[in-house]
Amino acid sequence: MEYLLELKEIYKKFPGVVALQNVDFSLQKGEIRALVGENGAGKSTLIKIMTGALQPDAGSLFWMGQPVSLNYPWKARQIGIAFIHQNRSLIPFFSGFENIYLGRPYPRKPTGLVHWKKIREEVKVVISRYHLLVNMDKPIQELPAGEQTMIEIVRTLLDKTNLIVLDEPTATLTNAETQLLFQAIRTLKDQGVTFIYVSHRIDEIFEVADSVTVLRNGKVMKTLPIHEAKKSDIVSLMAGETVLSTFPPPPPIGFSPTVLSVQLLTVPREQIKNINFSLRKGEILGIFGLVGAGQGELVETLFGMHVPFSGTILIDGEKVNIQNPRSAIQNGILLVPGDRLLQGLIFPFNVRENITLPMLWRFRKNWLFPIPDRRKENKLVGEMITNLNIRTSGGEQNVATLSGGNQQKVVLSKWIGYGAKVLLCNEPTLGVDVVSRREIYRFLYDLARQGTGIIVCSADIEEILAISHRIGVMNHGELVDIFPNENITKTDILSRSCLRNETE
Amino acid sequence: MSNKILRQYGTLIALLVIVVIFSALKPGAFPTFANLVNITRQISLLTIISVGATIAMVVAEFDLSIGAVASFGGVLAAGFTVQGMNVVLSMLIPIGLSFLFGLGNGYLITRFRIFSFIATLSTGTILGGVTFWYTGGATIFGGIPDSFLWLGQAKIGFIPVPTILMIAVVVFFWFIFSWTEFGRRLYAIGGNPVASRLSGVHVSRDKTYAFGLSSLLSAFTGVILASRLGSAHPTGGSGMLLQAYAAVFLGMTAFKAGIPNIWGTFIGSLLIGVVANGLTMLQVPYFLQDIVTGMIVILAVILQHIDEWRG
Repeated sequence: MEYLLELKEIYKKFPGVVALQNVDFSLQKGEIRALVGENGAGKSTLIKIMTGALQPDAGSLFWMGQPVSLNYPWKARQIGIAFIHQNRSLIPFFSGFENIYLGRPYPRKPTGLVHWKKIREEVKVVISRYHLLVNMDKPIQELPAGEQTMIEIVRTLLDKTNLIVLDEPTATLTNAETQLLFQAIRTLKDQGVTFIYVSHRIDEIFEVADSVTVLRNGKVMKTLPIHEAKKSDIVSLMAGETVLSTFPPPPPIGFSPTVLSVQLLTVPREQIKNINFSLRKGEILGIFGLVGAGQGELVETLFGMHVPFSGTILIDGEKVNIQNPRSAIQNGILLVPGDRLLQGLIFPFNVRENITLPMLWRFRKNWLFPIPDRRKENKLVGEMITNLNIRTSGGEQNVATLSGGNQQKVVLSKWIGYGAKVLLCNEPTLGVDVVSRREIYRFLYDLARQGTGIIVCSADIEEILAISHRIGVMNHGELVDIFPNENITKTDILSRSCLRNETE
Repeated sequence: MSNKILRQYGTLIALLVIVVIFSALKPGAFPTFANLVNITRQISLLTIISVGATIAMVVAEFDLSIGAVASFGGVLAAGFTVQGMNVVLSMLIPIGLSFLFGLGNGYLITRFRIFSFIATLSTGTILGGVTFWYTGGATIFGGIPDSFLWLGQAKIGFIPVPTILMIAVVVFFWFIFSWTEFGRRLYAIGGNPVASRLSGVHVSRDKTYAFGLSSLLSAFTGVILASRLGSAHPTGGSGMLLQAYAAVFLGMTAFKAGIPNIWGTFIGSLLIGVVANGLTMLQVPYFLQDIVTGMIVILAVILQHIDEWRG
């Protein structure tokens, strides 16, 4: 039997990680295939290989039975494979018509001017052939997210298209928009278009897909028709039950008072709803959520980065008013931000200048004229470099020349001497090697022992399981569950984070 | 390695080469002590206003109102003395008003998130209008007392007062930027405003001060200019806007590649001053000086990116 697309024995390695191991994957014409897996399971690598954005290190691809080499994205386009990115690539103030012809030769009038009438006619033919409902005249920015996705689909349909890869298409859609998109997908399927549908949302897969492939750690765990699959099976296939980490557990905490409590926190703009929890001194609370579930936005809100919000934040039992990062810092709430390049480090600065920036006033020679004392600065920076084992030639090295792990340690060092009551960490070990990870955890444990309450939010379940006293799970902007880290499995956490309800 | 030297010291090397060429062409007049003193006096105004522009550039913003503020400061100071105000007050009040004007620029930019380019272009235009209104478009020259002229025309020993003022401004702001918390914070903001904010730096306040200082130095320049000329014209400072940014960009190619810095700005201003001085001696027409200055800036910036375009 001949497949539309077939991948055999695909192997792909990145520095330090094997992203895909001997992956076999095949698609039939007119199929809607869901592709699921945890963060880092290899989904993006696999779709990049299918769309020509990445080359496999080994393995072969077949298109309608013939071997193909997709060494450029345009080659994939040429044979009819289209990729619709999670982040739309449309120009916001152009209309649908104007956007659709970007990057392809415009039909011209004999005078050389663009033949808009012809463009309209061509697009209308496509829209009516596939029975799509979409407004092509309004500027994109005035359209709901769902219609924007449709416009991207229409754009791919102008050329011969056999296979459309959708990456998390519903992440920003409302339920009604999602239904419209599904309808469009089904219509296109009836006309013979094949889909690969990548999503974190297991419920949706059961609505729209014909079959599902589960990836874990770069391997295909299973491919099965949707009517033979059960939600719980898919989640446990995604999670696996191997584990657990080689990282030491967090220091034990006895009875200790509450340092932070959050009541009914709602941030409309970040779609965060009704968050309630409390944190004790010396406790490490891990918050897990899939990408886009809102855990990063939650800690950013506690640090004053997203206003306005409603709800109450109490530190040591007293209500605090947090309107910006400075007021959070003054109240003893500190954040290790999620993106160290954009939010953490100052690039023309060296290690010393980065570390001492938040507390320059501590190094004053005298109180009359605010001049930092270089010797005092060097002393603190020296201690940090030793404590955290930052591999650098010294405080005067530019941070741009450090490795990711060491850069992250510099960001952590900024908050050390500060006397944090609550330390918030957003993805503290993203892109950090294993050795540095261990050192970062050891550092967090030291702070916990000294009584700092710590919140670590992460999309890495194993990290959450390794270092937390308690675990919270976020799903669609809500803190759906919070429980002690005892006899918890990856499956438990994952199912709470990607299913709408616990009950099926 | 040679690329690195070119990048860091290219502007200095260019300055030396130009000095050598002029010395060879005009051995009796150019490389003399008297001419050196003369050059420092000629560049003093440009240097002071360029330091102002540098402060705004350090926080990664443009202040395009500096020329208008210089005109405003000079005209107001001259006008006040002519009306009989105490000379010191007649200089300090315009400088103080300009400082407030700069804070206003900073407020507009940080509070309403307007691009500094647009905000200062507009407020500078408004201030230019106010200056014209004040003088009725005329040059102020009659009735300026001699004491007003001291700042721009006197010498202490053999050193002109503007030279001393220039050195004081350069050293003072070099100190601020190298050794104080405020200077460190300004560089942090210019390097990464988001990370600075998340580190607890009061970004909007410090940026506002930066604009205040930029205006203050521009007005100071305008006052010295009026004192030097013994007259003040409502567009007297506008010609310095582009020259000041030429000095700043030249300065960003010296010492710290790509980062505005005070000594670099001084070198940039010196380079422009030396070229103007030498070409004048060679009796080259004035328009050619502009052409040469513009070409030097382009060349310096190209040299700074030498690694990129060779690769």
